[in-house]
Order: sequence, then structure tokens, then C-alpha cells
Amino acid sequence: MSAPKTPSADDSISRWNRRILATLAVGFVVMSAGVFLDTGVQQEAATFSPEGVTGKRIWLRENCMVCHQFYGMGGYLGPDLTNVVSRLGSETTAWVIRNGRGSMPNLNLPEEDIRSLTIFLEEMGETGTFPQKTWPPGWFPPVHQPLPGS
Amino acid sequence: MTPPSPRHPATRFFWAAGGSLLLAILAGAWAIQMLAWSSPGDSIEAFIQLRPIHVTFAVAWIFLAAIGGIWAYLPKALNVSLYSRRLTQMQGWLFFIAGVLALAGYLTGNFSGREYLNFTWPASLFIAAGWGCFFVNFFSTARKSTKPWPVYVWMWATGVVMFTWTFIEAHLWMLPWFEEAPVRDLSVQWKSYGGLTGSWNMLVYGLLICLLEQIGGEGASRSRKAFFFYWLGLTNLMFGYAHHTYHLPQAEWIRWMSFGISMTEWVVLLSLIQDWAQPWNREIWKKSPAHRVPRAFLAATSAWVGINLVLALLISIPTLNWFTHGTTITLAHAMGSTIGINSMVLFGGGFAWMLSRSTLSRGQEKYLWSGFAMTNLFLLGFFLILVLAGGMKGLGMVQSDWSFSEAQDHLAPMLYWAGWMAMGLFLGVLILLFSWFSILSRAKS
Ligand code: HEC
Repeated sequence: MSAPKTPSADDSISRWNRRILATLAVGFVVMSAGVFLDTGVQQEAATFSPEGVTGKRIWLRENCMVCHQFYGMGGYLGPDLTNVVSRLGSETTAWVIRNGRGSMPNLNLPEEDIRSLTIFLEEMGETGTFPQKTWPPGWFPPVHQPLPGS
Repeated sequence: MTPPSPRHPATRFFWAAGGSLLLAILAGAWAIQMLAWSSPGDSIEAFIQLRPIHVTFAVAWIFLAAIGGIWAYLPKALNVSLYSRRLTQMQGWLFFIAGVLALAGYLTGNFSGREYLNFTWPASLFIAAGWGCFFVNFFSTARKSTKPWPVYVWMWATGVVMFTWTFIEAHLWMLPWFEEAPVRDLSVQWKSYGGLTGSWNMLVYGLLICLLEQIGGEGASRSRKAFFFYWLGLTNLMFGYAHHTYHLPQAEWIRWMSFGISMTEWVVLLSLIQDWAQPWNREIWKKSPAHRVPRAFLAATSAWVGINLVLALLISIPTLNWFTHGTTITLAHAMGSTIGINSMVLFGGGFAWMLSRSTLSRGQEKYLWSGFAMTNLFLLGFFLILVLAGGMKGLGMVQSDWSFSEAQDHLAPMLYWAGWMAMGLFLGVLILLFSWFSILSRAKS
């Protein structure tokens, strides 16, 4: 074990350490509260409808996230589904979930689950756009974007 | 004081860590061949189970081996005795039950549906209880020290506290207020995963600094510089997570905060460049030839820290993030840091401790080196291909408006080779694991 060089050097580090840790902790709590309060920029899409929540629970139960992404976050085996309903329409979206397609498995879901899932995906798509297909790209992706199909 | 027991607590955790890693790489190898070699129409349904098994047990390996390392070195470093052996046993059993519950859930199709913590709430409860034991035992042990803590004990303490916070944060989605708000939920989810990664990094990097002191006599763990980097690391852990969420339609300040904080990591890179030759300095190696095995792992770590830091810095620059986000570059980032950095430190720490209680025959050593070389070489190949494939996909998506299937077609040849690299990596880690188990089984308690 290396002994402390001089007690005063150690003391000064300890003092600084306490101060810095306290400051960081306070900053972190304030920042976290800020993140918890933020519901995104599309205020009209800030919350799911009850049906959307049901769809979300099915999404979680069926573990769709292992293959799919929202806003580029998730698994890479399947496409990003952020705006899938505006891209394919509700009918086709429901059809793919019902029957599977290519490597997308048919998960044998009952019709009401498929309906809830489609509503969930539609409402998710109203929160914003991903990916941003703009050339040349900017700095941050714009937060206020026209939704595809609107 | 606790009475001596036949098994050192570190041993149990090292066994459990090795077992978890074995499970993780088996599931990982099976899963990656689907990503790399399946053709459209092949059934990939098993991926629904394989991916969570891989992720959960890879993360379990990191935590268990880091905790083993802490039990191996903390009492010695502070010159105190362990607060309670019984609590370490309880912690071990609670984690074991959590692991069995998680695995049973995955095999029977019960998921939480969340990325990193894909097990259902009973497993979460056991993890929380086990962590509670760790929390009490860690702080009760460390508090016995009459001298100020070296920086790595602060890092461990930070990891223990931060995990507690992020684990709670990662479960907030169960409350309606989070569940019902799409952007809030995604934002909090990825914030918590940033903290989760940060918390295990605190445990692992703490172990790295502790090892440098223990095996190399580099007693810098009480210096101002060491504390400066600890504070910088903690700031990044807390505020620098959001390069994963630049694309979320969330409040503008969150992105700017994260971007600004991430950029402070350039300082870490500069300092690393300044010291880059040190891990390979022959004089240090000659001074303690007995430590050549852990030294090699630590030297590999420092190379991987450099490589990963460059990638992390680049993907934190918003314009570049347009191209890298949602591509296999994120996968490269995850693999490079969990295998190249975390696992190298953990292997180094584990082997250092085991070899101080056991011997290594020539044959075994050769075997170990072959695993070491294979792991690093194939990881590098895997990493580079993933970066290349990700860059191509990003460019194609942003510039040429590729659809998912167009991207798949373009990337198929690269993913094919990524699959072979992953298989080499799998074999390399497998060899290291056999060495791990065989040395561990002969280590005196
Ligand atoms: C095992 C991986 C996997 C799982 C699990 C999975 N999917 Fe898919 N999914 C895919 C793949 C691969 C495709 C692309 C199919 C193709 O190329 O035709 C796809 C396509 C889709 C599409 C059409 C997307 C488009 O842009 O054309 C939708 C909608 C969809 N999946 C919804 C779901 C839902 C909802 C779930 C959960 C109930 C789910 N998927 C679970 C792999 C999966």
C-alpha cells in the first residue's frame, strides 16, 4: 500500500472530493427531474390513448424490440418502426403483423391484439420522424419536423 | 470478524461470472449467425429468446466478475477485514435465483420487453435484494478504513450507488405516468441505460486502477490527476448519455447538455495519448515477470480504451451521429467496450488474483495466450466490419433513402464476414474461459 504523501494533500483532495460530489449529485437530481418532465415536442402526441397503452403492453409482452427499433434504438434484425404506419398504412401494417413477411415471424396473435398494436405504432409515429432523410445533414436532427404523410 | 470459511467470497463470484459468460457467448454465437448468415424467409424466431439470454448474461458476467474483484481486493487495499462473509453468500444466492428466474422466463417466453433488463419483475426483485446485500456489505467494509480512500474505492462506491439509482430508474416505466408518455418513456429508458453502463464502468475502471497499483506498484491512486479523471468520468456518466437519444424529439437542452459533456472526453483521449507507451514499457514487464498475464490483459485494455474512445467521441458529434445512429456502429461501440475494455480488465483482475494462489504450467500458459490473441484479433476484425457496415448503412439511409431491404442487400456480404469474425471471437473467449475455470479450480482459497 502506498502511504499518503502528506496529510495536507490528502485532506485537500478529500475536501474537494466532497464538494464536487455534492455539486454533481444536486445537478444530477435536477437534470433527472427535467428529463422526467419532458414529454417531447409534439404536444398533441404526448400521451398514448388507452388503446395505445394496451398495444404497448402487447409490444412488450411479444418482445418485438429484440428485432425492431424506435428512433434507431433497439434490435437490428428488422426495420425501424417509428413511422411504419404512415409508410405502409394501417391495413398493411396489420397484415404484416398478422401473417409475418420474409423473416418477420408470424406470431399468431389474436385480431384484437393486432388492432391494438397497430394503434400503438400509429401513435408512436405521431411523436416525430426517424430516420431523417435530409441531404446534406444538419447539426442536430430538427425536432419540429413534418410528419411523413402529413 | 467473521470466522474463516473454506471458500473465499471472490471465488464464488468468479465461478458465477465464468458461468454467465459461457451462457452469454453460447447464445451470442447462435444469435449472430442469424444476423449474419440467414437469408430472407429463414426462421429467426429463436432470436427472440437468444438475444435477451446473451445480453442479460453478458451484463451479469461484468457485474459478477467486478464484484468478485472487489471482494478480492477491497479488504487488502484498505487493510481491513470483510464486514460479513454471510452477506456475500446471501448476495450470491439471491443473484443466482435471479439468474435462474430470468433464464426460465426467457425459455418459456416471458419477457419484460425492455432492451437490457428483459426479465420480468420477480427476477428484478431478487437482483434488488442481492444488490442491497452488496450495498450494506461494501460500505460497512469500506467504512472501517481510518485512512482516506484511494480513488478506486471512491469509484466502486460510486458504481454501487449509481447502479441503485439507475436500476430504479430503469423500472419507472411500470408507473402509468411513464408508461403512457411515449417520448418520456424512451428518454428515461435510455437515460437509465447510460447510467447502468456507467455504473459498471465505475466498478471495472476502479478495478483497473486498483490492479495497476497492486501488480505494478503504480501508486497514483491518491493523486490529484487520478481524482480529476474520476470526477470527469462521473460527470460523463451522469450527463453525457444522450448521444443515443439525439434523434428523439425531446427537449433541445438535453441534447446540448449531453453533447457538451461528451466532448470533455477529448481530455481523456489526450491524456491517454500522452501515456500510451506505458503499458508496453519493457522495464515494467521485467520488474515483475510473475504478473505478465494480468499485464497483458491490461495492455490490451489500454489499446481498446483508445479505439473505443475515438469511436465514442465521433458518434457524439451530432452531424456524424446522423449516419451512425441505428446502425451496427452502435453494436461495434457496445462490443468494443464490453469485450475490449470491460472483459479484458475483468480477465486481468481475475487471473491476477487466481495466479497469486495457484501456478500455471507451460502448456496452460500457451493455451491461455492463444485465447488471448484470438479474442483480441477477432474482436478487432468484428469491430472494424461492424463500423464499416454501419457507416455504409448510415450513408445509404441518409443520402440515398435506402429502405430496410435495400440496406440488407447492400450489407449482406459484410455481415457474412462479421459472422466469421464473431465465430473466431467466440472460440477465443471459450479458450479464455476454460483457462479461467481450470485455474480457478486449483486456486487455494
Ligand atoms: C425475430 C425478429 C422479429 C420479431 C420478434 C418481430 N419482427 Fe417485425 N419484422 C422482422 C423483420 C426481419 C421484418 C422485415 C420483413 C421483410 O423484410 O419483409 C419485420 C417487419 C415488420 C413490419 C413491417 C415493417 C416495414 O417497414 O415493412 C412490421 C409492422 C412489424 N415487423 C411489426 C412487428 C411487431 C408488432 C412485432 C411484435 C409483435 C414484431 N414485428 C416482431 C423481424 C421481427
